Amino acid sequence: MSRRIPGTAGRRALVRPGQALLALAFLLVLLAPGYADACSVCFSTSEENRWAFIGTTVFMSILPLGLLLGIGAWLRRKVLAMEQEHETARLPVRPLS
Amino acid sequence: MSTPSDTSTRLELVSEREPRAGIDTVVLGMLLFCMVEAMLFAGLISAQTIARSNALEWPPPGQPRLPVQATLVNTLALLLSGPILFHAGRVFRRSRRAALRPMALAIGLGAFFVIFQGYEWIGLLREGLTLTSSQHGSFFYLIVGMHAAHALAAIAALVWAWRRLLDLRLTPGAFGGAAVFWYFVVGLWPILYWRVYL
Repeated sequence: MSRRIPGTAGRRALVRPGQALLALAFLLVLLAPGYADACSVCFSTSEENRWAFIGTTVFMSILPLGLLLGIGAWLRRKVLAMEQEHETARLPVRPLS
Repeated sequence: MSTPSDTSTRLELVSEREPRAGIDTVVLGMLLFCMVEAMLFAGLISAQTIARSNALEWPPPGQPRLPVQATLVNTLALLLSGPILFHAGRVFRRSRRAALRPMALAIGLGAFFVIFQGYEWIGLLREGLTLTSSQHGSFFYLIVGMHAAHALAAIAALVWAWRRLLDLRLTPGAFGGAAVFWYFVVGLWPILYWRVYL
């Protein structure tokens, strides 16, 4: 439930002041590297070089995650196969009495 | 040992085999090792990509061009060794002795790849492409040399596995570990060929 902001004369505020400040801070963080020229990926005299930076950054970020996911999927498949085999091996077949 | 039960019928488990589809630690260890090595090559490829994008001309003027066509033949030989080793793995599960021949063929193709690369390197060195002649030369010898080192290590692992298979002492795990290493070497090469040669 949203609170009434003094001076809005009964109208409901769309954004709380805290949320607005947070959004402003987020925008500042996003835009700051542009003003500081601090992002080697974003600014280069050569467009090809800029794209090489972006491409390799994406590649180096995604590759380890992909490899981990691949090994995780392989392990999961192995464990499931192991469990299934264990279940089929535990068939009760001989009544004793 | 079964104990008496108050229920009218007791059931005994007469068939409790050890599960066959276990996780082999050798294969898992080799997969993790290959993962680490993949990141090493990813770093090298990224560095080469950045250097290449910074250069006005690639390869730099005055530097010899890489033998793209000849290496393509070599690439096909290496790629062929992958399915042959895979076939050896399938045969190995049925009859161990029968896997000797396809495994030897895969090792032979791998050895051909490495020897051909050595021959290629001699030619390039004569033409003036050295480790210090340009960034192109540095990256070429570093990336391709690193791959060749891995190929040699994987061939050594396969030869070790083959010798154990000859004595019928090769376990499925050991075979799997050597095979995973070889698949890594084979799978990596087309990416390196694309980035370094083309």
